[in-house]
Amino acid sequence: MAQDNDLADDLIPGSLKRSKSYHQDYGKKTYKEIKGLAAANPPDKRVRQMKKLIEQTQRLQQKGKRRRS
Amino acid sequence: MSKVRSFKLGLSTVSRLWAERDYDAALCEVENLLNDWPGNAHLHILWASLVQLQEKPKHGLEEAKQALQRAIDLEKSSPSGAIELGQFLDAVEDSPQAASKAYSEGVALAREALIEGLVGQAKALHQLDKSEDALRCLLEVLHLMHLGSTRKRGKSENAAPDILFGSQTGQIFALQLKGPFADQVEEILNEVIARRSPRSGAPAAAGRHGGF
Repeated sequence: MAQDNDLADDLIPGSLKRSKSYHQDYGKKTYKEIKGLAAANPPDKRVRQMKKLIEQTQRLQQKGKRRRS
Repeated sequence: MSKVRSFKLGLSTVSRLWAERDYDAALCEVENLLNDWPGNAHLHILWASLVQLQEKPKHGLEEAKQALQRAIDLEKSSPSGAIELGQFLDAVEDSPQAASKAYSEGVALAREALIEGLVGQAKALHQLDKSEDALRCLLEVLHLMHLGSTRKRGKSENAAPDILFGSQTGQIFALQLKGPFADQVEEILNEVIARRSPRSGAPAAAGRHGGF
């Protein structure tokens, strides 16, 4: 599970870093910072994209765990 | 070892490696399985998922997307491929419009499978004389059919709905039975209500133009 203090770069795997939704300048932000910025009004599109990549990674990782249970 | 047993063993290895976050090895195992079972849609979905999780990818994201589309083509009645493609389109390509279309296809297939399961369960419960449980399954079916019916209704259709039913939230819905399960639903609904009515005082039948 992604923790609030984890850096985006540590949460997004190399493969998804090749997506157009990945923005290196947000890579050193923590997950908590990204969630906060994504919730801003109006939201920053690039932050929202980074958040989606983090959550996609989490979901796919969990999928493996669910398959074992 | 039989082919099926070796397939099950392979899937179990994939699960273990996945849980250990050894995505490269898991991908390798999925590729071995795909050599023997190229038409297995589930393996293509696993492949696409693992490609996305690799730290040092050997395949592009476009290939992952193609694998998901292949899974949909291979198993047209399964919702898994379309739902996984929806996730990919939204999260990786930031394309909510395309994602919404894929989800919509996946959800329709999932709803159809659920309706089929619930109709079967209602029939089995009816045979076991469990009319109330059968009726609960059928109410869920009607609710799902209602959710799945998006077509605008004409004047004459509005005047004569096939079924009136109450949801768990107390709302009353009018629904025209249609689609591949309409006849089966009507038949089992009539049977269940007919058996139930002497005790409960419910209408003797709730078929076309009826209600309960």
